[in-house]
Amino acid sequence: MSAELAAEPLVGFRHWGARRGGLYSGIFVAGRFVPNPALGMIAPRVKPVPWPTDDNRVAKCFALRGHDAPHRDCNCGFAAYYALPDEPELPAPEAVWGAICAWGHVVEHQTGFRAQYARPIALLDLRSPGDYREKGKRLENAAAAYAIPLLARDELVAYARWHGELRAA
Amino acid sequence: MGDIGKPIRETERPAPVRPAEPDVEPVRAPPKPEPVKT
Repeated sequence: MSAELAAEPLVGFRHWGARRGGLYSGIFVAGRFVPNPALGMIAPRVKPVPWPTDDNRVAKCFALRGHDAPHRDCNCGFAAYYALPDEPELPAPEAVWGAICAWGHVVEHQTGFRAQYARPIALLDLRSPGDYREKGKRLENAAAAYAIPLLARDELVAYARWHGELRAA
Repeated sequence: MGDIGKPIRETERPAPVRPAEPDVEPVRAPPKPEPVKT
């Protein structure tokens, strides 16, 4: 599959685990957030790092036979959905949703994509009930660290569209 | 991230363009006029 040239960056929506201002990729298991489990398996002593606050991060693949990310036949790359779910789930207190802008090499799937480069552009103003850590300012701390706005749902979608191509899912 | 379905196509996309910083001095408010003595 050869890559087509596209005119704009691609925008999408995803969730992270937010801790002390950092946005971490990871999984949610039984109400808990586990940052970057793939990295934890190959290098248990390496601390997970949050998404950077600048543009200088290229996606990496943590598979044993590594390759440039994203690869068509892998799950690597910065991933997001084309559409924000009607009722975004917050499976753990750390869970936050937001929009990203992606560029470089992008593998486009049926309902989302994986990209070589990406950065968060805004966060959804939706917080997990019962999240009392960080003095109830988890979202505000992350938004301030990344210098991005905290927006209501409709505003977030409009803001994302302004930053690039928003594909229909 | 959950399931995003099967790959459909691959693209090469340009980096986002950040708005340029203004290269002119910001417009300042004019000085307040002196009060007129009568």
